[in-house]
Amino acid sequence: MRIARAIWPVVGLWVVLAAIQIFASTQSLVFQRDVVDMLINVVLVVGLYTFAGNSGVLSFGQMSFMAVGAYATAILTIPQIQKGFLLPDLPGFLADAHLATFPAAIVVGLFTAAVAAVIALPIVRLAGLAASLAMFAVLVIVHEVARNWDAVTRGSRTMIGVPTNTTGTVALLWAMAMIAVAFAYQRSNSGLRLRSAREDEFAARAVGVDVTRERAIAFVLSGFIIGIGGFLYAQFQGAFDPNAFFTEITFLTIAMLVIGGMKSLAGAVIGAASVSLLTNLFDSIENGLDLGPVHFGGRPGLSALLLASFFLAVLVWRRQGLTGGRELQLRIPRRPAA
Amino acid sequence: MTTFLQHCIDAISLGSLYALLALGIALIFGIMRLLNFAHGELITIGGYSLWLFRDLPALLQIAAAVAVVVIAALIIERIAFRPLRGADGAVLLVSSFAVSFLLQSLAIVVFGSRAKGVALPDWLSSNVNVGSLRIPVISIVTVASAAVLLSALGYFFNRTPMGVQMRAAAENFGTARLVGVRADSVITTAFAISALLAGIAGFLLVAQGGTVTANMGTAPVLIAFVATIIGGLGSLTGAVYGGYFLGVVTVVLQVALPLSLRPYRDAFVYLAVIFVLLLRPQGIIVLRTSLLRA
Amino acid sequence: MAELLRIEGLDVRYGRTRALQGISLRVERGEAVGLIGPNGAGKTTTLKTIAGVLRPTAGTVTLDGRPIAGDGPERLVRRGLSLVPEGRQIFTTLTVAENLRLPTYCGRSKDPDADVERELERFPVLRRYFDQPAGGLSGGEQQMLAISRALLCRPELLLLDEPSLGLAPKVVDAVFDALTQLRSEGVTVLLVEQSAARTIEFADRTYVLSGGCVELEGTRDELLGDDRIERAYFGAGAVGA
Repeated sequence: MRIARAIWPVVGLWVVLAAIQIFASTQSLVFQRDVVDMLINVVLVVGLYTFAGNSGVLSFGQMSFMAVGAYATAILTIPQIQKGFLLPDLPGFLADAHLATFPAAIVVGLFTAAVAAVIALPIVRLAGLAASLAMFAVLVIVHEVARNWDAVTRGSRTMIGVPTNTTGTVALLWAMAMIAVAFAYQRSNSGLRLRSAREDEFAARAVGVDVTRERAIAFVLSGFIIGIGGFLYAQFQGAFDPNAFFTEITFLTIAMLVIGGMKSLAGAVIGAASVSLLTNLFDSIENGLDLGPVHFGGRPGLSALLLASFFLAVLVWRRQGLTGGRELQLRIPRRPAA
Repeated sequence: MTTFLQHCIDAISLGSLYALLALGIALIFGIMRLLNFAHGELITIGGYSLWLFRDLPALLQIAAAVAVVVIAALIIERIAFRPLRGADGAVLLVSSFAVSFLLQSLAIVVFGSRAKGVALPDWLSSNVNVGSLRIPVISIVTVASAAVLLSALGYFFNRTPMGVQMRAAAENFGTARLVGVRADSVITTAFAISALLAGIAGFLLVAQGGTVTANMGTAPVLIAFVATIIGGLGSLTGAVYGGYFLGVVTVVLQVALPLSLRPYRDAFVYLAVIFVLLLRPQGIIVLRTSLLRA
Repeated sequence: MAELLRIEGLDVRYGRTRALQGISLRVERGEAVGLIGPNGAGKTTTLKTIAGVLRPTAGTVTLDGRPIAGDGPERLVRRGLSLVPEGRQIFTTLTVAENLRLPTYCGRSKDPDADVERELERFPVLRRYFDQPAGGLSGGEQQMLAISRALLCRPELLLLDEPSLGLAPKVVDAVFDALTQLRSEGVTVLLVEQSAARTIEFADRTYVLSGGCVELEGTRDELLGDDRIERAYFGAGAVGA
């Protein structure tokens, strides 16, 4: 029973996501796609949470890793002939590289983690506020590089031809895996040390916590998970351009995390899931909907506006988010002593 | 030699623009500990206002646009930031990001996502020839605007009662209230001045680029943040120095970078900044008590 | 109105901690009242609540017959209250002159220049550093500046939070001399101090606060030599109790 209680924070979330996916498989294709989208968002927000939630440093640039993951996926999985046509100027070894889906995912994740490791070097040394803004600068840098590096990214033109292997099941399995990874991390010694520094950095340093090192570990792991998210995204959409990894997704994932509750894994997952469903509603409104005799005309951009308003309202009225920073708990009534 | 002078003019002009941007951010941060992402959207509001008033004579057009920005800033403060007063830094930062995104989305809903052209008077896009130097009129206007605004603010903060009150509030908001400084007045004034700076910056940006888009504020606000951080969070003079420093670095990189890397110029600027921060993270980031040293 | 300040059943919390547990006290116009007690007793909390910095969870604070009811500090200054905060907290980046002029902007001063001049007479050292940043003053000099700054709001009720903290004995003497001078000028004073003896000597009446409650109250004669004070500070069974 104690084991059940210990792993419930993960298993509970698994059950919720699996239930949604199983339900979706009986529904329309449109809804199924929405659910895959939701699961990818779960992965991205779990990745964001792994760094931001555990360290207390809100990074405005973690989605740079989504870009890295997506473009790496494109290079590794677009079939050779098409790749030669789309990216004629790729350096030799990249032009030849090709991997099957699962190995590609692993390589993409590890590569993104490596990029994160390099970026971590300056970032984790900065104080919270400066780190947040420095990551925003990283986001802008990555966006600018993606828009200009024609040989590797096709510049601002759309990257197309990525094989679409991300089905509902694939997304669900990866989401479950990443949730388990994030949970294992936050329960590990490193994770606990980082969380102690989140609450009181001075006290943590005083008892010997190497805050810089712990932040770096979380940052690299975050990069890995978000890189996987980028992989799933690339193989879901099949096509994308640099703007897919800029301010909109940054805002969306931050909103999801904060609305769910920044300090817990459940907050990340539930925030991502619920806001995904909410944005589907907002998207319908943006496209115009009919409520009986009343017709709401559609306006582009309305969905983002509604989400931003909702987010601001949450910040004003329920800052700690839906979960209040708590994990899912298993409440089993204890058997009274005989 | 001419080329060098030409570059100097560019650096001073760009630095002046960046200094104005940084000042707008530093002012709000000094008083409220709020890094205002939405400052970029104030610039955008200025841009769209210029477009809305495009049939007015130039000076009236600019004045009207700035007025709109100031009014917008005061409304934003009342609705979005006042309820969050006193919240901790992370919440304030995320909130300002939310406000920024909200306004950007609003701009798209109202104006659409396509760029709008703003035609400004011919004389603004022309050049003045001094010997072999070609000085763009817009550069003169930029440097002059910065000079006027910086002196005016210097006078304001040092010689007027409200200015002294704001400096006191920036150093210690709670104690300032204990001697009768009105919290609301100080914050409202700070937003108004910040909006004035944003409006002028918006005009200068539109005069240079000729277009207005919903996300035109994102890049400038990042520059402003970076300049403010380099100069020491909370110091107004530091923000101004930070702005000029970034202007110089940008022009230097523009000149020094090989042609193939020129498109990445801004990326290199930020990399340079991160490098600087790495060398002196504590010296630059430390929140000094000597705020608003005008 | 003879009673300038009245506090009834004041309850103040920091999160879950109850810093003040239903205290009551009063200050008559023209009186000097002391508030002493051990660390953490709630003395600073009391002053901050009176000054409008903290909001009570229960109870009332009445200033000159009207409750303060949610007025912010700057509003209470305009109603005749002034707090010299703990640690002095002068504005180090402003000059001494600016520190002194600041309170005059609230409008209670009919002749700001004359008022400033009077403070310079009271503490001549301030005249010497008039145009220099206040951060350069010593601890005692900063305390003088803090008191003058509070007085320039022309308060009817002056609150002081541990003015002698961190000052050399001779400087503490100077501070208390100034306070005595204030009394003769008719300013009503509520003084919080750690040093029990000095406060009881100085004040007309003194309250002893401990653990968020008023343990004792009495005049100078009643309290001097009362061993219950020792117990309030150190608990029952203290040395000599």
